[in-house]
Amino acid sequence: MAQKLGIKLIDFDANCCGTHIIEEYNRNAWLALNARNLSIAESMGLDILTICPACYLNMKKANLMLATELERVNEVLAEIGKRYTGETEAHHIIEVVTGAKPEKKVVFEPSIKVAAYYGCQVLRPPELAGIDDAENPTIFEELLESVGYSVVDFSSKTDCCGGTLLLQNYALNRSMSMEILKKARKAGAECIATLCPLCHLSLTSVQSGKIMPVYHFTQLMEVSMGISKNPIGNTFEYLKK
Amino acid sequence: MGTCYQCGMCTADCPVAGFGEFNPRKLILKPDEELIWLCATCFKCYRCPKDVKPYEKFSELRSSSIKAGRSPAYVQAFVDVVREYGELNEAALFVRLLKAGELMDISFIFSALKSGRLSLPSKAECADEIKRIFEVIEDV
Repeated sequence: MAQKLGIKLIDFDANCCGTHIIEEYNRNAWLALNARNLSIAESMGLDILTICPACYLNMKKANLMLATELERVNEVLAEIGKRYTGETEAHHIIEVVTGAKPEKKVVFEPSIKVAAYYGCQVLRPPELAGIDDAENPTIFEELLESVGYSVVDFSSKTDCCGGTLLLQNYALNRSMSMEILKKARKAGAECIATLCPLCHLSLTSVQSGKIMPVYHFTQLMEVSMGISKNPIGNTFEYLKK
Repeated sequence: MGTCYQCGMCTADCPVAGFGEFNPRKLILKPDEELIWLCATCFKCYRCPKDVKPYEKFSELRSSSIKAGRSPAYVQAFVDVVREYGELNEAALFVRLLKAGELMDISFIFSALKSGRLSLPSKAECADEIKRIFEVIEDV
């Protein structure tokens, strides 16, 4: 899909961003983990694209902190032969895809009603994240409509699926995800589009009965752009290439 | 940052509060070392009229608990997996959690396996560099 949109993706030897767990465990380690990823992209003269809202938020936050702590963090990076000067930005994939004007590449319009589900960390906290307005974002609906999908009015679009609670309290995670699924069904959706791998995992794995298929938005785009022939709408398994 | 006047805006916005004991308004007034781990870090409580930032407060409390050696087993398991593998390897994480007797509901693992989203443990290329970063930092 990236290729068809004219986006050139270059893989690199990335590490885990650490999330808030490592930030709370050891802030310096968390800063160095993020600075390492940013430094590699910087050495290639590139920005970073991620499909994960947590990586996105952590890199954004680390970049802000690094503005005043570069010297100290570079002492750590020097141990692994790296250096960062603060020139690389982190982007969520939806920002890059939206900028590539995907509507010109649509080959057919699937007749399925979609709930565009943003989740949390691409929007909040607004002082750090912000692919769009934190209260009433529309970028995701606009993107899906531009690639041929009809999108329902979904009041829970910025609510939390509880995916981050998966490790500490799966029952709570399940209740929260079920709430999202129920609200999507009530809104008239036949499937949910997510822009977060953890929401995707969470919303699919909690379904013991088949309530509603969940797709990462790129999977939906690949279908309407004629790149993939996956049967959108009647599959509940994770879609393979 | 202001002082909380107990308006409950955070709790009205909190998606966890509807399902049990977690109540951000009460926790800001009286912190609880058990309950802070139920915060989903969704940042819904950012609309605080006094800009108290409950999500930051809970993060600081979790950090202090970790430093005092009082955190759920998943925290250490998560850190250890990243330290060893360079990335978050889910299979390795679940093995550690099962060993610690921490994973309450293994139905999740079956579901993840069935849908092809759980791969066998393998290290990221950068694993050695990540190990070194932790060594350097934890040495200080």
